[in-house]
Amino acid sequence: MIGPSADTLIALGAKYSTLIVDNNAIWRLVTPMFLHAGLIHFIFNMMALWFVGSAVESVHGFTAAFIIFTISAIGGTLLSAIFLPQFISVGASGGIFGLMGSCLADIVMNWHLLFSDFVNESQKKRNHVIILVLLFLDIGGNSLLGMTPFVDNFTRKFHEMVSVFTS
Amino acid sequence: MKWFLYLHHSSGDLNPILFPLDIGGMIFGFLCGMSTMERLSTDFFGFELSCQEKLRQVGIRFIGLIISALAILAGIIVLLEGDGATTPCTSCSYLSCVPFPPWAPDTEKWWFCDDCGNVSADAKLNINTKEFNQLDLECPDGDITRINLGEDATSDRFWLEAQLPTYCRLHCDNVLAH
Repeated sequence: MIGPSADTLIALGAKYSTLIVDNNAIWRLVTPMFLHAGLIHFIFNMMALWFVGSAVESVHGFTAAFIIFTISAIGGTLLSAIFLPQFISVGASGGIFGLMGSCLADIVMNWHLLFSDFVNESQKKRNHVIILVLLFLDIGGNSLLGMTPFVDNFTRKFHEMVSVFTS
Repeated sequence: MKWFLYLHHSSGDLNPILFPLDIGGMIFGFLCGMSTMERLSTDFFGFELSCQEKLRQVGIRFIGLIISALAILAGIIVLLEGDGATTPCTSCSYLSCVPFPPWAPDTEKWWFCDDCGNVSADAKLNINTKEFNQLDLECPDGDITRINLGEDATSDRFWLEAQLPTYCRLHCDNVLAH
């Protein structure tokens, strides 16, 4: 990944459950979102954040995007620390997926407008259906990919990039 | 006379996928999105929301915030109450990794979700037959398991090294490091 060693990442603040518990290092739930395993990891994550984050921010404002990204990144790291304590992790992907999740919330909350006959022409409604199908296929594909072990992050980040363009 | 030879199998330094981090982030993003995202003004399109609908939307907004805050608080308590090494839900690792395909025998999966990729063993060499006929395998959790190779006895140390993950899966009680 062209980046620092695991020891360096731990020293910089990677999620490491043993240290969080033994040293009360709660701050390790916050710092991983700023750290990346290497240059490739960083570039692809920032591209994803640029596309998804800027879209959310332009529509819903800085405050909403900031709150969603930060809480999602912390929450994702927390769940990872509880359920997968054996892994050291870094990255902003929890926050990026949080922004994607907030787009889902947007769709759910405005569902009645998305398919309203009054608001949409028939062509637009069809486009909305296609976009929704693509979105759910994308999430499903991501879920399946997530169940493979030790898939190198190039594959994963490539998929993340495709997800962003699909979105 | 018998001699021991140290064997080690390494699967390399690869980064595991941490799906709970992503799916956890998505769940929190969904909850926070319900509470923070700007709603489209339906009046603009000629709709008038009923009082009941308005109350429902306010309720959804509060639920998103409350669940997010409670979930993070509860999560921190659960994390700090634990030992930082044991997961409260061993099956949850299947959210991150599932051995595939399910119909293949345990030793012939396309990929595995254990720590047997990096195991070591002391192989006992029988000087008379010039073959390794016994292994003291160090399982991922640190336990030592003695394996009599029987018909698998061989003089090829590299073949034996390559077989260590398989022996680990067949003979170790715990195939995870934690």
